Amino acid sequence: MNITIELAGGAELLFGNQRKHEVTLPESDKQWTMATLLPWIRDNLLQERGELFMQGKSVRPGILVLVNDADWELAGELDYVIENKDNIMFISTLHGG
Amino acid sequence: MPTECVECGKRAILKRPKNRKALCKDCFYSVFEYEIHETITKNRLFKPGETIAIGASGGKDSTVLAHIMKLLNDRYDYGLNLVLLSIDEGISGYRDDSLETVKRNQIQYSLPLKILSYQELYGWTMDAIVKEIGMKNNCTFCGVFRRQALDRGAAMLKCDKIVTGHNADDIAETVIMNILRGDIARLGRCTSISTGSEGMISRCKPFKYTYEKEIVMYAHFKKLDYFTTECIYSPNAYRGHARTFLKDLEKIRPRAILDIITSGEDMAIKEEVRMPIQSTCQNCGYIASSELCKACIMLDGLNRGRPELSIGKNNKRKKILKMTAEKAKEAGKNGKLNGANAVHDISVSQDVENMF
Amino acid sequence: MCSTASFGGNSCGSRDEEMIKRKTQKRRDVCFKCKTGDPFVVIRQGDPFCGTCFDTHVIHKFRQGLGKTKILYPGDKLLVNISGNVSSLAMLRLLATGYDTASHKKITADPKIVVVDDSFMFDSGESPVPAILREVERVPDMPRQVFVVPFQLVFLSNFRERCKEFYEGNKDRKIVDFNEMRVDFEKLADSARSTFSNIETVSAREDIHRSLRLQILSTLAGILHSTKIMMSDTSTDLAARLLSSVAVGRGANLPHETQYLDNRLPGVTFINCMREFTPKECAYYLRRLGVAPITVLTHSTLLDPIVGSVNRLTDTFISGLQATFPSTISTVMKTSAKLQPMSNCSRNCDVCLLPIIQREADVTDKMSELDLEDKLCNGCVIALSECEQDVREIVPKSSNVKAILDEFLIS
Repeated sequence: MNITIELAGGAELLFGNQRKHEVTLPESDKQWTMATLLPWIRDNLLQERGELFMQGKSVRPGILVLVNDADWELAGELDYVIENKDNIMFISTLHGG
Repeated sequence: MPTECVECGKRAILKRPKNRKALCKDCFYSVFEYEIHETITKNRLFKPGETIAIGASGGKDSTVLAHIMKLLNDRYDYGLNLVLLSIDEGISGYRDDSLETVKRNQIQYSLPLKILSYQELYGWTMDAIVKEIGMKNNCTFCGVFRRQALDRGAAMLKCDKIVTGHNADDIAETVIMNILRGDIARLGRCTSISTGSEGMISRCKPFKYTYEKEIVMYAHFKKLDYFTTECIYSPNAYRGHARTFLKDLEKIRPRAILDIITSGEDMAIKEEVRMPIQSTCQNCGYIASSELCKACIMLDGLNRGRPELSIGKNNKRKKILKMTAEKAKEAGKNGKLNGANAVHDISVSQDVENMF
Repeated sequence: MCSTASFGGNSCGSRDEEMIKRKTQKRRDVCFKCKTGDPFVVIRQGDPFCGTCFDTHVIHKFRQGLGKTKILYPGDKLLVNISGNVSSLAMLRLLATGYDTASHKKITADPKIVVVDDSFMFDSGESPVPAILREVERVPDMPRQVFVVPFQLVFLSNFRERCKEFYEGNKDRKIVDFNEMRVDFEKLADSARSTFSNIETVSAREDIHRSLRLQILSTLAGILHSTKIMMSDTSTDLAARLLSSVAVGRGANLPHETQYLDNRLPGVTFINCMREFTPKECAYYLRRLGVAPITVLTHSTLLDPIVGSVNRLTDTFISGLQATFPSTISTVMKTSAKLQPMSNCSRNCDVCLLPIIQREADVTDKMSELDLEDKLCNGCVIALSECEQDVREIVPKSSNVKAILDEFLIS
């Protein structure tokens, strides 16, 4: 399954300053959900420390998540099932100024 | 640690949690004891000849408190009569063991001891209360009952003041909690080193500026006897967050604990914010913010099988207040409210009279 | 002793439990407000809003704050502090809606956009200033004059006079770029970086940095004869700041640090006009307008969220608590609103400009050497005590407080 991961607002700093990542998720007999995707991103894409991206099972408070340009809260948050060609965006609203 | 004590140059055995200075055992004892003595004198907490009730739970704070009060009273001639006052909430397993500790403290420090139970005072143990109301709000009941119990116990023993072992960490944590809860009224009271109003025995906190970690270390090195388990009924997740925050903050800046207390003292409330007015309970005479004191409201609720009414939204409360106040008026001056009788029936026993 | 009970029982957040329960039960497939639109974002406690209703919601909230406090007068020169972060860009766009010819009840203040460039202090390559200026250019309807101020200018001796002189010679320009001053900015930047590296803790660094920014803004306000400065701190920022201030003994000054109007300096008001906004609302409003977020760094951005600095910790703590107990931030803001500024102060702190409370100071040896006790607030005493000797000399000396006050006070 291929998805695009986009980062903004400072989140890209954790991913080697690269704002867009085209990603192929490994085959899995279980469905990919946001709940399984997040730790995968942390373990495979993240270059800086994981605790700045995730807290517990979800993203750190202050990081907004959009799925195909819509608020992930509308899509079920962690329960959302990832589909091919999905665009997942993380916007950091943490500090600055 | 091959480090030297900053005061005397001998081998240091610890870094002071308050400011990370390296100290040897004796210098640590000195500075710990002296700072508390300074707190007591600077704030004029006691007068010679006063009888002081030491709230004794068997835990580290109250054990060290008893030890320190006795030590400083002797060393600096405060001229005080000291009494240990312990409250038995009736929590099986937890309280039994800590009470044994207090009884040992009585012997270790040669101080008189009085134990008062919720059963005697109110006719209810915490075990029974929790059975009745479950684990929600049980801390509220216990808190209200304990506060009154200490006051009543101290009154029975004809004490002038009560001292409790609340330390800097406790107070800082409470400032944070009250900010998080929006509890402005409590903020002012919780940072005062002495609290008390007309008709009530004032209580003070000699450990107000003493770090919890230092109390633990003092107790450890002096090999003081204390009991260390958390109350089995306290699940308060919210306070746990505040505590973790405080611990994390302490790691960044140890002095933050004292700075939080300073902030709490300095926070000034707008005049327009409504503060509860103090009056007296129509049933038992204790201090109250309406016609009945909290304990009487709660007891009445418990005894009528409707404990949830005594905690919760204002309009429900107003309803009970009205009902119970009217009942109290009907029953005459020495209110015959269920359960609250017990308070009036306790008389000072002969052995207590013989303490002094 | 059980400390839970003796201080007043539980607050296990039963109200929060209710809020969370209701949130999970709400419908997500249609706009909460108009009942017809496609939902665009979920805000508050699980309320989905369509794009149009969301716009109305945020614009109304922004205008309501200004209207309630009646803080803007016609013709007021209004300094608008744009740091480039999500809430400052949203604030700029929201302010611009007040100048839209179609809207009734227009804002008539005269905006002066101020961009303080401190990017030289952070190792991340590009400065966000060009992106900020491009975005400012794109903002419709609003008349504006833009000021670009290199942060290191605050360390220039007679900073105020030099800036005033430059301004007088350039006041008619659309963009007043202080980088054009005849100053060796590289040298100043090096010296500023060196000063900051002599501040031992990140907590103190962030604190002093913010204080200096406030000094720059107040000085500029004085030069421009402006009495209003718009700041973009959100509810999350202010709730975290409340705890940070408490943690450094600034409890007496919480009203200035956290209420809608910050009147720490007589004569000028800092307006926390984004006080009722969440960072999420700001970010989504920018998305509505197609404005891309700009990355702005601080001293602790990439540090450990817990022990990185006091501000990092309070931000992490408040945001984390809010996620579990959704009434946290609003309750903290309510607490802030119940406080009042103290009355018995005779002067302002040389560094952070807050009124100083008269008290018997608990001063360390380091501080008494410099005879600074009664010139600094608690928080600044703490910050400076974590600095090397030279910083403790430079920072208060570069203070512009007297000049600022002279500008505004009528004696």
